[in-house]
Amino acid sequence: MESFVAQLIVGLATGGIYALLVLGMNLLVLVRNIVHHSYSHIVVLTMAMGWLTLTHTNGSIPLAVIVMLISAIIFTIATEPLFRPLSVRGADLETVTLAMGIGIIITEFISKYINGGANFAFPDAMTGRQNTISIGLISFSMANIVVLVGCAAAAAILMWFLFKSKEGRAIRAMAQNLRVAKMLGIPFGRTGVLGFGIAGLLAGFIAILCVMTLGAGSPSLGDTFAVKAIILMLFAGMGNMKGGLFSALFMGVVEAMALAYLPGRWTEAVFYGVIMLVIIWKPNGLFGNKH
Amino acid sequence: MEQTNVLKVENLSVYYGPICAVRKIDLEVNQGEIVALIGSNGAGKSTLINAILGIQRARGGTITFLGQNITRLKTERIVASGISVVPEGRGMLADMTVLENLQLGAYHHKGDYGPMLEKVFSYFPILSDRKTQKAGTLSGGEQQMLAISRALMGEPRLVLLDEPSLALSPAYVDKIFQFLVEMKKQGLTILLSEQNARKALQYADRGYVLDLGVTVMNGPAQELAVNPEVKRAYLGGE
Repeated sequence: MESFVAQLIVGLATGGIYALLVLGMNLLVLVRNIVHHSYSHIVVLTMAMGWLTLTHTNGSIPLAVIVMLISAIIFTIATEPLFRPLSVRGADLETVTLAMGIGIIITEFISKYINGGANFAFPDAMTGRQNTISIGLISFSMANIVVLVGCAAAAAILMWFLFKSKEGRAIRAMAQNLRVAKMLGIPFGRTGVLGFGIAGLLAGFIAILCVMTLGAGSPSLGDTFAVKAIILMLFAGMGNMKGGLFSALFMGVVEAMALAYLPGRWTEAVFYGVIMLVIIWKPNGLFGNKH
Repeated sequence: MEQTNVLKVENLSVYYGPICAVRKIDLEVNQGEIVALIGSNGAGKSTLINAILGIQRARGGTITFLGQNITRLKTERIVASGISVVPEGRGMLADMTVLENLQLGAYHHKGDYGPMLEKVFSYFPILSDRKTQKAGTLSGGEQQMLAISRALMGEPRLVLLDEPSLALSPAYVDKIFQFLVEMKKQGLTILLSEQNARKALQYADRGYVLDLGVTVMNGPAQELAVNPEVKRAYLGGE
């Protein structure tokens, strides 16, 4: 029972990171009707920027955090002009191809220039893995708790922005009917850049949480995240923010449980097995009625 | 220069690729009048409205609004300068609530849109009752009220209405036009396109008859309504 609770917390923390990835990508679905496959790669590139900052300075953590947030925003906004013409044309396949291309370039860059292609580990002071908390027989790392709280806060802020603020309303209007949104005078360019900027800030935050829970990045991490995020988006229904959130948390827990209780490395098989079943039975996603 | 005209369209041409949809049209809308564009389907009415709004780019000619040349401005700038639209087919954001639709209409409102919201709810209390409902759940007539209210939310100087009577019951058509006349009395300037020429000419001050992208006739609405040619072509030949 104790280890079950500990696994649940690990699972929720992992799921929380997936959830933020899915929220960020779903935000871009709303803003430009694109599936930004390379969003996860940007997160990993941001981790690499943090690692570079730490190794090239005297290991200042606050500086690394600031560099990560700023570079994530810059990287994400930099992709907006690439997607804009495709988004206007409604070219879905081309969009996916473009996004995958960006992802491959980032992966190649990291494997060539960051720590010679090996995993790039972060100092313990930044990961918080050493601090374990014990309640009775249950023990778990402080990092998982910080990640859980951080994910909940980020998700709540993003939801508030989308559903309660003027610009959030404009983004949802654009997602629903671009022509009408334009007729109401919503600026297509500026609102899009704003959406990419917010997705970028979120990417920076995800990168920091990944540093805390994983302790290291690797060139292939972007691909791993990207596949999971896209599958979770399909699972919940494209552009469905709330559905994506719950699906990601749920899958994080399923994954953690499989890791703890199934023999060998069955985690991925269970993860995709559950998702395959849902995709077959509910073609529009578990929570989806859109698209 | 005379400053009574709110909107002045000169020598405007609009093309879809090689196809000319509007050819060298001149049009004026003066402060506080309702001007109707009438003509059959494909006459260029909607194209003209979209061109004024900057949704469809003009190939030639100029559009002047309150003395400012808006021909090349982006739609968001045109809306911000005081023109709003009731799109053809009402343009509901169906999955968003009635209130959200109204708030989006006030996207370019410079100050507090609260008083305007109150005003709109006093014109159409049904919208207040249904403000938390999704716009898609409203009836056709209620959606048209919402579309018009949404267009008023930014407190525009000029409202464009594209086929306001389309798919509405006759009772609602009169209600909508009477409301527009009421708004006119409060100083609003209105340009509308309408296939229902009889209703449009009944309520408008002036009219332009469009055919295949050119103006074939224009003048006071009462004169157009009794003109034998207009009667034959657009009023079902009485």
